[in-house]
Amino acid sequence: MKPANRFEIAPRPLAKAVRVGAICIGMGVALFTAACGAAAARPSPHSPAYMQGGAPAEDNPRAAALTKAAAHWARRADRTELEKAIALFTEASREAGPQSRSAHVQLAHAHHLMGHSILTFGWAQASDAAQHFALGAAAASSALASDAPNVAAAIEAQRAPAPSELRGPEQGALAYWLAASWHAAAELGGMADIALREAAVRSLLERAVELSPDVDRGGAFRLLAELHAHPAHAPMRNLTLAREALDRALNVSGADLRNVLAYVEHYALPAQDAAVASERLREALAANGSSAEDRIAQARAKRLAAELDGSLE
Amino acid sequence: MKRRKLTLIAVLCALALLCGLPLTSAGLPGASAQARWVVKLGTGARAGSPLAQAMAATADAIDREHASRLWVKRFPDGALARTAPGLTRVASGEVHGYAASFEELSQAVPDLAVLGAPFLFDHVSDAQKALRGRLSAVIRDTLAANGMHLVSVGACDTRELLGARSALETPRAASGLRIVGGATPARAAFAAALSMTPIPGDRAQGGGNPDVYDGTLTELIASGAAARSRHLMLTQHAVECGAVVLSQRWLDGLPEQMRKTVVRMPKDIGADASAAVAAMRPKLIEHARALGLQVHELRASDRRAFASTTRDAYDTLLKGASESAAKILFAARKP
Repeated sequence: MKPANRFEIAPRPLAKAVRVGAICIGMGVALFTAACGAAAARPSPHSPAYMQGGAPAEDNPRAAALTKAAAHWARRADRTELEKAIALFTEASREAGPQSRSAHVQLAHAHHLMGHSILTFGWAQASDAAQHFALGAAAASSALASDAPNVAAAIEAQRAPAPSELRGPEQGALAYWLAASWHAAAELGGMADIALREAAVRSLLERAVELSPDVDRGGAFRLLAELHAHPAHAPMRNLTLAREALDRALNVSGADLRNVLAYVEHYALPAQDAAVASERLREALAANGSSAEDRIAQARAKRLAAELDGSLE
Repeated sequence: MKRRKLTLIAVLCALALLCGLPLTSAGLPGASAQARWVVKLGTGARAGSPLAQAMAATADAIDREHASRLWVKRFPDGALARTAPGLTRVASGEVHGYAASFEELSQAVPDLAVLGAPFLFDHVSDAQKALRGRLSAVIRDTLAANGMHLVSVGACDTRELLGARSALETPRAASGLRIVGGATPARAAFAAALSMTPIPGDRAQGGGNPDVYDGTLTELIASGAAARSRHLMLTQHAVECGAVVLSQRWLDGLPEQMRKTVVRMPKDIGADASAAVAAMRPKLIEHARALGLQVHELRASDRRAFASTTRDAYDTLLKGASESAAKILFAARKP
């Protein structure tokens, strides 16, 4: 049969060739894209994720947990997000083992924040807060004690480790979180607990301010000021030292509302300095912080302002 | 027009009513706002401590009886002692009430120092029993002579000894040792009676390399002295109680009926504070053991030896003191 036109036969093979070619090109593109994506997912040897895990994310559960935890931590003012962050930090620290100090610092920090959020906003019972403080202390102490038998023995005996046993900013941060957790738990336990913890807490904080003065935005100075202003044995009270510690906390972070409020609670009120108390409290009440820590400080500032007329001569 | 007039009349009547009411009420008997007295109650003790609890109990009692007339302001943590010692301000009437240990009270009323004499009581319960009897009346008279009204006594604790290196189970073992224990007359007299040398050292830092520390369990543990020591001797060699006092000058300024009810506060107002101190003791002793200290209780014979050796402290404390100090001592020993 004669073709209808001289192109009748030619298009059939060409179309087939075009079709086959298109399929091949498409598969090639797809394979290329997949390969690029896989390469993108593999962390660079210089990235934090690689340094944490030393391996690609998909082979490193701890790094994956930490990455997910960071997202929840960024929204820690919300209780559910904070709970998820704690669960992931717990998983990461378990994977890492006690040698990974950074994972344990994060876990201790998260438990401490949850404890104070519970007490401030009534998210749960005080006993739940106490449990979080205990877990925070456990996280910090296990990392501190992991490769130092003397430190382990001291903590087991409820003493502070000797200052020379703690070195470097990460151990300084762990010392702070251990002290803060012990102190918070003692405050819930009563005067006996406060008295028996005070010396060890003080010693840990004095080392923490040397090794890691910025931890928790001046937290070690803030807590030292509290001990100087409200010691278990009243004759040990020293408001001069309290004020010096608070000034150093504000040097670390003048914007942190906890430092501003601490100035009222641990210096201005015991010293009956009405001018400083009013000024700092106004500052705390007017601030517009949105972080979990700021919200806790603001809630406490409001309560204090309501009581203030009974607290100043 | 009529409506406007009615509206104007209504407004004028309302204004007249508003202006007239205060004038009317001022004329009614008892209708003027009653003045509220501000009551400042303070303590040097930490908020939440047994002494601060005693202050709070006093404040609560005043609040219950006189909420409409008295406005109680509470000042723990030594807040009322910034411009002058709290008890001095009580005597002057600037501060209306204070919760203080006898040791602190003795700085304002020196005759009370004898209450810290060593082995004055065999046990803290003996002190509490004596304070419910004649001793309380003698202390009340002594305080009244110094411008203070005694409300209640409680929160009794005892002083113990820490041995930095060795145990002190006999008086002879103490001779020649260096002791850190504060500068009060009672503590100094105790040290001198045992031939110990007081050193000022910073207890929190272990300055002066002391051999012995003298203090309550709270003091010895919270200061860090226990963590630097090896032996805890439960000598109970002195009893430290607390008292809540009111300013006589302030009381004299109250209306008579109010004064009568304020001074009639329950005498057992410090009972919870005493129970709080007692509850703390086992926990603090257990902590001392956890720190690695050996805990020693004195045998009866050693206790008698210590009491006999430190008898000289009484003469030291009575030297230069007034007759009321001797009366206090007599009432304590013969309840």
